[in-house]
Order: sequence, then structure tokens, then C-alpha cells
Amino acid sequence: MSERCALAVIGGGPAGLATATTAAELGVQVELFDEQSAPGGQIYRAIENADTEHQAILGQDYARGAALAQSFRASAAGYRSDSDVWAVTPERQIGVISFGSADIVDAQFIVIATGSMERALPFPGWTLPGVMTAGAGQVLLKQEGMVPDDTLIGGGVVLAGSGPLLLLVASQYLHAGVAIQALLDMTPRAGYLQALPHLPLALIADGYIGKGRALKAELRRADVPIISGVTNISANGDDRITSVEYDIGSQRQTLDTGLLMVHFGVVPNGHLAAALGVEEIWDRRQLCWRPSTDAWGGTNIDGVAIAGDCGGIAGARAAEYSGRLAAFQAACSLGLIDAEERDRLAAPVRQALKRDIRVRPFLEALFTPPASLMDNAVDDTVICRCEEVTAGRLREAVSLGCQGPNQVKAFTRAGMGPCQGRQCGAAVSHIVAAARGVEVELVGRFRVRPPVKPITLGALATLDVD
Amino acid sequence: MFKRLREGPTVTVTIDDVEAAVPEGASVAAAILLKNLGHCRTTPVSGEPRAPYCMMGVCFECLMEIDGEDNRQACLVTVEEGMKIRRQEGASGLKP
Amino acid sequence: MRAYDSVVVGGGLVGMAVAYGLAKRGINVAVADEGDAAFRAARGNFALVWVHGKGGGLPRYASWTRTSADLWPAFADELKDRTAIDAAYSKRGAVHICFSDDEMAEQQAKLEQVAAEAEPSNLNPGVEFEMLDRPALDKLMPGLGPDVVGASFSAVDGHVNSLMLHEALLKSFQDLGGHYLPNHRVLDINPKADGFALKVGDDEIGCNCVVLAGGIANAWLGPMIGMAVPVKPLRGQILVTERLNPVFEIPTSLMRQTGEGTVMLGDTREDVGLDEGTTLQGLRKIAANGVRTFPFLARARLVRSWAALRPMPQDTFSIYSRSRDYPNAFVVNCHSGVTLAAIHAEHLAGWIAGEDVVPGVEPFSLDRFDVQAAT
Repeated sequence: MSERCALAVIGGGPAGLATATTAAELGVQVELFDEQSAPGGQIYRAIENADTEHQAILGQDYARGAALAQSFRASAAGYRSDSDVWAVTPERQIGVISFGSADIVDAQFIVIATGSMERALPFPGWTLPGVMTAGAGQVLLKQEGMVPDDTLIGGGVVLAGSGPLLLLVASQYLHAGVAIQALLDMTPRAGYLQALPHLPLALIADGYIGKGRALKAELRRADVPIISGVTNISANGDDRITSVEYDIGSQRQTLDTGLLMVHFGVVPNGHLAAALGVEEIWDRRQLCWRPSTDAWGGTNIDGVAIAGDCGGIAGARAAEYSGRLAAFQAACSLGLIDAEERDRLAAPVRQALKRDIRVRPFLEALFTPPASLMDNAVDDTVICRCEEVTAGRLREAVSLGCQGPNQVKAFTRAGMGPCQGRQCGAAVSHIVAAARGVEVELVGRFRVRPPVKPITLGALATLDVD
Repeated sequence: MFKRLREGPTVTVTIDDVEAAVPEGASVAAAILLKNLGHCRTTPVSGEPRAPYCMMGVCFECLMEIDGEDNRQACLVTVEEGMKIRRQEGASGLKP
Repeated sequence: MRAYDSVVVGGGLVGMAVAYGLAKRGINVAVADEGDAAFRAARGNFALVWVHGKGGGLPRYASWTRTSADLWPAFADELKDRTAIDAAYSKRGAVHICFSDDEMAEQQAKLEQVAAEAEPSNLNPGVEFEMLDRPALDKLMPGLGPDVVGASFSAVDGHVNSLMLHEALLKSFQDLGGHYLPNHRVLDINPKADGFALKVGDDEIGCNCVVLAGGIANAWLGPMIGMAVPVKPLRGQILVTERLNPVFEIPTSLMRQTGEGTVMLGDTREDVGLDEGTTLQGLRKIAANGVRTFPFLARARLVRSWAALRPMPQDTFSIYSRSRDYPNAFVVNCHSGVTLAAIHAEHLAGWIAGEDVVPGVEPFSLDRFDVQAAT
């Protein structure tokens, strides 16, 4: 059935919830679409079910989501849970699949708030069962109250990679009584030096630096081995991981484990926006593509704005602020408030946003992996997990003359599987760029087209479009 | 590989025809991890085993057959009483 | 200035097949191609090797197409031997599905017309087809929907992985010493006393012979060597499902299961200029046809969709033409780069190299459009 709404918000994390709630308060008729069954997104996942004991494990920042979900529930905004958005057209038609049925919704204004995902950094053995992301570990903790079971994992869980989330998960596991075998810190030593100049500004941002230090101190007090300067990790095993290897200096080390959790920072989850044709720019500091937006999140597509981390990584609080700004603009564009009112409402939010993101340059300089980590996979490393395409095969295509990821995809099938290149896309672009000896932004990225979520031919065949 | 911090209500599902009590409200992918089943599918390319990786719907590693429907993202499906879950072996077995 | 015997402008399936054929003849060839972002029909192909029904109104096109289908098995083997790339060529016949008795009658009349016009057997090895009623069709492909009445069948048709074909051509060409020049978009062609100078960015490349195989770009490249090329983009959208276990072997004109197991569904024919976007309407139409043909596919998941621009000659038939002003300049256009790849590498390249080929290419000259304009 074809439906209409004034404002469609896609995504139920902090940005989406703030957009929908704020717009509803201004009298906008809003529908929020989210693939999860409850509000919160990934960062505040299952927030409505978290009791105090659970919140204590997950920490204070997580608790902030409760208020956000509460005001959303109390607002007049419509809520479509369990709804996958598989397409958005420039005419602002939204293709939604919900409980097996496919609908088309016509919106006057759309805010895309699809958040972030963890950066996929291929390494040997990363497809083995028992290797997963630290974010996955966090989802299991939030949603199901699940933690690694030391009795089933020889030696205890190993955490590896770089970025604030890695420390956070370690700390949450600590609170939950989980034994951590080691934290392999892969933050490049150079990162600490590059980050230093950004420290003064970061220190006056809202408390982030203090928290980061407190986390590290806490881990050290608990005698969690934090091994710095780790490079070249690989997971070994036959049908599941049995050990992880890594270099420290010139020495190769091995830890026996049945569970390796990796994290290399987060990047915009921009698949939907890209499929719609939103223009993107290469963000050198964050080492990722992100949509090109104006001060309200507006894009090159008329009536389509971006809010939150899918517009560039800035964190949960910033996502809330950018969601409010997008809501003001939507309300203005829909004629509910005038530009003067919009600007008046926006002023304090912009102030808060500015204060909040002071920490970003520091974090980016510190934690963004160097491009070399993205393109130095040895030839037999699987890059495209879905189609099992190796780094060597990609390089072979480049040596035949392929200039960018799309021709490489055509020849190798990298990016053609069910995930549609979400996991391998960045690595493919990096590997092609390195093999050609040019910058990543020059080789471009996979062209993305709908469906961005799987839809059956049966559902598509009965779609209500003219 | 995983355990629950606290026991809670469960529902009964079958995984590859074997009955299993799994946490109410959990995703199918979480249930598989909790039951320590190793892999949730084998790939249609080389047949190698895979298990849930991202748990948030972006990696498509947790594809399983759920209630007769192939290749569903197990991390995005909540378990239900009586649900029939099977490992996805290779390509979809859809038949004429 | 870099110089070559021949430069083929365009590195798609048509350009690469011709360039490969020229390189095989010992000619020093370069292919001037664009980069990653280009209108590339070769990346959007449906990949059928299709004969039956083609050539109505131009009998030589029927002969040409059939000859290419006959060349295909050896061509596929040759590329596999050279590159170890198996482009999954399969020749088990193909069907065109009909949903009503009227459609059956119409299809039969069309095929009979092509057969009636067919050239003698020294030029056309045959126009064979069968009309299959529903029981006969069911034996060939189980699982068809209740709306399917029957189909036409041709045993010489088949399908291939066109992306692997493209890679195999590119590799074979370079192994033969051919020069592949990506990021060499040709901006201008200047005829000289002893050949041509092609402007590429700030650079120039020289050649004795130039072959335009730029697809829709031939429309604006042609006049540079004195030829008006009536070719226009015609958009086609295609869907592809997740990998399935084998469900049907024989392709239809609109559906085929690939070697990987995915099912490709086509297609649309839309005159929308240079817009290569997909539309919800287009995707729905294709899915609806697919489910009507094979109802069990309703449960298959769509994994990708795309659209590409066919370089469609005004009368739909190939254009192979030598410039009147510059005898060493050629134009090559067609919308069947897969079906005709074999004959492009063999006969067309031979003709460009100065050989006599049978059947000949004369009917494909641009002259036919002058005649039309004059009447």
C-alpha cells in the first residue's frame, strides 16, 4: 500500500530519535522507520529493557539513551519498528519491508540517520568462526546480557585493534567479571604524536579525555595485559579460531584463544544514502567517505538530509544535536516554522554541538588507522568475505588495467555478495589505490544501488508503484 | 563461547531439528552463539564455515534458514516459541 | 608521440573483441579506454548468446548472428586456453516464453519471417527453431507458472559470463602484446597525411588506422572522421538474486541462472538519455515477469540491481563502416556485444585488417542510412 507522510526519519539511534521527537514537538507529522524492534540504535540498543544492574555494567553514557527513548515514545511521532528500508528514490519514495510485506511511503522530507558501522579491516583468518567485532560483543551484552564464557574459550577472550570502543568493551567485560586474556593495542605509535597537538582542544570538550584515561587506568588496575605496538595480527584455526598471532617489534607472538574481538574504529553506515545518489566526499582524517552536507544536514538531493554519524563520525551526543538541527530545517521546509524561528531554535544546539565535537580531531589523529593498514593485506588474505575474493586477485585485476573498484568488482566479484560491499568496499578501494600508486579518493568507491536490504522477488513484484 | 550474565525466561526452538531452550527476546544469531554451535552457515563459494560477525545487520555472515525461509539475517530476527532454525548450507535450496 | 598501427577507441566487449582479433593477426594495437567511471554497457550486459528471432528486415544480420553463435564454442575454448579463465559458456539452447496463444502465434510468425528471408546456406548456416507447447516445455524446464502457454526454442542459443569474457579478452589481448590504455578518453581525432592523431588529455597518440568502438560515444566521435553514426542510448535494468542451487539450465530471453547460481532477470528498454539509474517501476516490472514465469522464485532474494545503456543503432542492426573520407578509419557499433564477440574477433577484425570475410559486412555499412534519408 502506498502511504504518505510529511517527514520520514530512517534510523532509530540518537540522531533519528532526536530528529523525530523534535520535529513532532514542532507539529510535523513524522514517521520513524527502524530495523530494530525497539528504539536506541546500536549505541543505546535495548535501552528500554536495561535495569540498574545492567546499566551499571554498561556505564553512564549508555544510560543517557533512556531519556531519549522515553521522550520519543511520549511524542506524537509515528514509529515503525522492524522495518527495513531497502530503497529511497530522489522523488522521495521510500521502499520499506516490514514483517515480510513491502510498502511504498511517499515523504515530503526525509532525514537519513543510519548511524555508523565498524570499519572492516581484513587480516588473515578474519572469516573464522570465533572472530567477531568488539561492537558485536557489545550488542550481545546490551541485548542479550551475554558475555564470553571463559570455560569455553581456551585462555580467555582477546581484544585487538584500536579506538575508544575497544577500551569501553574491555571495561564493560571487566565489570561483568569476564577474564580478558589480552588487549592488543594496534594504535600506531605515530598516532599518539599526531594526536598531541589536538589535546588542548580535546581537553575542553565535554569530559571525553578524562573518561578515556579512566578506562585505561581501570584496565591496568585490573591487570588486564595491554600490549601496545601490535601489528600484523592473524587468526589461526581450521573450522574455528584456536589462536591469534601478532608482531611486536620484530617478534611473532601467539596467544591461544577461541574468541578474538577486533575493532578499528567506526565509519558512516552510508549505504542507503549512497544508493540514493547523495554526493560524498573523502574524509582524509576519518579515512572514509561521507555525505557532503550543509549546516542543516541537507544534501544534493532536494528534501533529503543526513543526521548523526552516517554524515561523518562525531559520536552519540553530536548525533542528537545534528538530529535536532535537521528537524528544525524539516519543520521550516514544511512550513511549520519560519527561517527566523528555525535559526533561533538552532543557536543553542549549534553551541552545544561545537563544544561536543572539540574532541574529534584528537580522537581522529590518535585512532584512525594509517592507510597502509587498509592496503597491505598479503595476497592470500580474503578481502571480500561474501565472494571470498583475495587481495592477490584484486591486485591481479589492477595489473590487467582496472582503474577503480567498479571494474575490479566486475572482474573479481568482490562486492557482489549479500553484504553488497559494505564490508570490503573500503579495503577494495585502498588496495586498488595502492596497487596503482594513487590516492584512494582518486579511485573512488563501489557504486551502490538499491536494494540496500534484501527483498524477495515476490515482494518486489507486488510493489505499489505506477 | 558465550554465557548469560543472569538466567531469564526462555523459549523453545529447534536448531537443525534439535530442541533448544534459548533466551526470550534474543536474536537467532545470539542463540546460536550461546549454544556454542560453532558456525551458522557454510559459504556457497567454498563451503567454509562462518559465524555471526557484526551482530548489527551489515556483514550478512549470519544467514540461516528460519521457519523454512533461506538466507535470513539471524542477527535481525528475534527467537520465537517453536521457531525452526537451520544452518544455511551453501546456496539457497529453493526448489521449483 | 606514442604511435601504433591501430588504435581501437573503447575497451568494452566490442572494442576488446576487435582489438584481440587484430592483435592475433600480428598488428600492433592499442585500446584507448576510459577509467572506472564510464558508461559501460560491458558491465551491465545480460550475457545471452542469442540468435533466434534476430535479423528480421536485414537478412545478413541473421546470417552474421548465426555464424557468430557457431564460432562461439571454439572461441570460448581458445580464450580459456590462453587465459585459464572459464567464462562459463553454455550452449544448451534457449527459450522465449509466451504467456498467451496470441504471443505464441506472434513469435512463430516473427521466426518464420526471419526464416523466409534467410540468405542461402553458403552465407547463413541455418535458421532453426521449434515452437514448444506447454507439455514439451515442462520437460525442458520444470517449475513454470500457470500463465505460461509455451515458448519458442532454439538449440544454437546459449549464455556466458560476460564479465569473465571481458576479462579473458583483456588478458588475451595484452598477452599478445596489445597495449591497453585506461584513462585515455579520446577528446579529438585529427586526420593526418599518414594516419591519425588522437587527443587524450594533454597528450596525443598516433596511429595508421583507427577503429571507433566507443558505444554511445561513437555518435560524437564519428563526425571527427567524417561519419554520422545514428546510435542512441537505450536503458536496460537488470536484477540478480542470491545464489541458488541449480534450478534451471536453459536461459529464457529474460532470465538465466549463472554459473555461480545467481538468477539474472531482465530487462527494460527505456529511452531516457544518459540516465543510468534504476527505478522502482522498472525493478517491479522485471520481478513481476520473473515470478510469473517461475512462481517459486517469489521467495528468492534480490541481491543487486543495475542499469546500463545499450548503444542502440537507429535500426537496431550492427554498424560496421569504413569512412569514405579516411579509408583507414572504421566505425563499429552494435547492441549484442556478447553474441557477436566471436565473429567480431574473427571476421570483423579480419575485414578491418583487409581480409575477405564470408558473410561479408557490406550490408552493415552506414550507407544504408543515407538510402533511408534519400527515400
